[in-house]
Amino acid sequence: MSNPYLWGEPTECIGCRLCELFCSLEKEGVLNTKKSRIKIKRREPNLDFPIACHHCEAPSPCELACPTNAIYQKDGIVRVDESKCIGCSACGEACPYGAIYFNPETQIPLICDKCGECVKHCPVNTLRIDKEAPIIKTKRNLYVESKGAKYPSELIPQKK
Amino acid sequence: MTVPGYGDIVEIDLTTKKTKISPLKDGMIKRFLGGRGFGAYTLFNETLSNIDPLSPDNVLIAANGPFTGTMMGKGTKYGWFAKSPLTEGYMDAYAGGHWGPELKFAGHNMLVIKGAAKEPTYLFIDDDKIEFHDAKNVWGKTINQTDTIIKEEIGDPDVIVACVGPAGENMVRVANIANDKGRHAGRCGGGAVFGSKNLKGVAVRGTKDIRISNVEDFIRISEEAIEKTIEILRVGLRYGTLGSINLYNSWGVFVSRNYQSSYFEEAEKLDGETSAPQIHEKAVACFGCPIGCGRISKIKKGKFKGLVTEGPEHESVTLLGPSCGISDINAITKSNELCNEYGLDTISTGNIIGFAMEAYEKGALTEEDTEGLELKFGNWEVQHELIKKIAYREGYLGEILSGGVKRAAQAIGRGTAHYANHVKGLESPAYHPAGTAGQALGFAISDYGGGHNRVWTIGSEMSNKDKIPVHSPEGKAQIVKTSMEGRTLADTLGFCRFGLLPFDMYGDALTALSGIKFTGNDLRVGVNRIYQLTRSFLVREGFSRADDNLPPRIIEDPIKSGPIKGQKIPQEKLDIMLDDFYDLMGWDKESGIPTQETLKEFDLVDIAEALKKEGIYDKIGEKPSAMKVVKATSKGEIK
Repeated sequence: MSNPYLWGEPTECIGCRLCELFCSLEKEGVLNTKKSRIKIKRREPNLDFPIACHHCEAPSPCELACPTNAIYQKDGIVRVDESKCIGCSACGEACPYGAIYFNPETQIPLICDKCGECVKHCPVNTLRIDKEAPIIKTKRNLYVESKGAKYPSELIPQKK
Repeated sequence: MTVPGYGDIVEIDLTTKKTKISPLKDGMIKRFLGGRGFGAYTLFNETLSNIDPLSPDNVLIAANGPFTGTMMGKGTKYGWFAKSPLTEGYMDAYAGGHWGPELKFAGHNMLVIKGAAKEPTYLFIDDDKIEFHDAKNVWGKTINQTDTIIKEEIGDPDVIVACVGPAGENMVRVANIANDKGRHAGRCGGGAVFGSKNLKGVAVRGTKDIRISNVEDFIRISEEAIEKTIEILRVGLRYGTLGSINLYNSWGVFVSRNYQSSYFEEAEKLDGETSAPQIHEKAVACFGCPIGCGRISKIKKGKFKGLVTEGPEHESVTLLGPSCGISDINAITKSNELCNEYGLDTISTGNIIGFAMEAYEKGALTEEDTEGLELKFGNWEVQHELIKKIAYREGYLGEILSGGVKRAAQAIGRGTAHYANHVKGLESPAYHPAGTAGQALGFAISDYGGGHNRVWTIGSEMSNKDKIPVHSPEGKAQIVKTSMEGRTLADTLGFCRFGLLPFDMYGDALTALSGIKFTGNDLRVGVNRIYQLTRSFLVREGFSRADDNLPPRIIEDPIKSGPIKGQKIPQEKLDIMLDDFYDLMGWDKESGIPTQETLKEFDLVDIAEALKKEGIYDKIGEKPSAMKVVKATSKGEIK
């Protein structure tokens, strides 16, 4: 079970990454996809998975993994107390969805707070914040594959 | 401090393995704006005249526009620049996808790659760190394999890779540059420049910010631009780019059997309404684009059942299909995949194969020449064979065709130059040049050769046909110039040329982004300056009015069938339009050279000085007797 969270259909998402741009603008005031709290992960050749925090029921794996109690939950939203964070990335290792990203300058985790800025700007209206996420079971597999850079073998063309 | 929206310049010498990062020079932004402006200016200054494009003397440049990596009107495009190995003139080629934005996020506006590596190499640009990697594991590999292996070697699936396939390595003169596996900077043979430099690819990872001078204004203008873009384009691009085939065919501006006609009797089979449901699986967008005209396709039946690939888009379908007399969308999708994987420009390759088919049917290519291949129109099995032969320069036919259609006609002789469809050596694309008078002029004056990227006037000519008939030369120079300005702006600021918005809006957006005041008129002057600059590069390399021409077929042969049967563009008609256009541009009518006064007016005194040193101004007022002769054979030997 989880709280409502941000997701989108990988068959509908066109991978334009406007969500990443508007997220980094909203939260950091700059354009930088590496500072976005949502990321589009392309599973070759034809699926684009928008991945952001799932806001697992408390206590979430990231909360449990954090050695300094910098991660906590309030009203179903996972939050970071930046003053306590030491940038160790244990939360990212613990996240079963690969949905925690890190600010490349400060190493502080970037966790979606469901502000809805990306939902507003999704040109194909596939991003939404709700509980009904039919792809939740396959997402974990996707993450394992994309993190390890393991592309499905049938997608790698044979030597001609 | 760099200007917001812009980045710095990375110089890489492959011979010495030295690299240098420096800021943009003062005045570059005001004068040349970005993208094509930066690329062309750098190319002009960094190359000597008359170099061999496949020698280490050539310079390979990648340039971003200020909107690349932003959400401003599909701010995603970037360009490659070099002296073209195909035309031996000016080359630029643009691609979407995510590579240009990633380079911007690494902090860079431009890469300037010089010299040649001793061993096969690929580059990894990791923000400010530039690494030279041994390319032995990817040399010989196709685009998909290369992309996958480079990501594995670097250990990050999120780096973005631009690379060439076997065709680029083999210095095929119609080889392209791919990024994100399925996006291509296609035209003018940039892939061969990679090959000549022993360069397999450039991987990029960028983690820096793109700053915005006035965030509030930039968001407001971008949101409006996105909304308008959706309004203008979404319906028309509902089948990707395949939704206009029936329309173009009904206008008689399409291509059939190596330009013998502008009407293809089986076009309906290929139009999106019929073909899209057969192959399209999903839409994919370039970075920051709300439309997503790219398509992932899957072949669902027949010999190639199960093949999943990106594309084919409109141009590829037309040249690999109707121009070769082929109407089977599954076969065309396979041809497209072969071209993409070997790294061949689909437009040039389809054009060349259509040419070879006509040469075979007319007896100019014999069974012996083709090593038994039955090169008949409609034979897609032979087309698939030939694509491979071109990519690997296999046999007599593969070798001569790999040099492009102009060189191929030179090598074959036997009257084939009459139906070699190119301008300045670049193969013509998916619009019949005799379709409308304005488009014919647009092809003729194009600085990079026979492509549609510079000028596309068919739409506006058709909608204005009650005022000015489409085949009339009257007023077409101005229509062509207007189209050229819009498309140059897109390539310069770094956005997609589909669905152009008003210049003032781009001016406001650039002002908000950079903090430097630009009006719409500043941009219009800027793009004209850039066009004078690329023209100057061409004349420096020996091009003249004689090269602002159309293939003999278009000038002399009436179109064989369809709604505009009998049309052609007689030389006299083209000359009227050229005179008008030269007047508008301030070019000498006899030679086609931009006059010193014109260059001065556009703040290009340094360029005028350079042309003067080359003796170009001695040729003013002289009527050139012949087109520029390409020096190199397809084998790369200088005659």
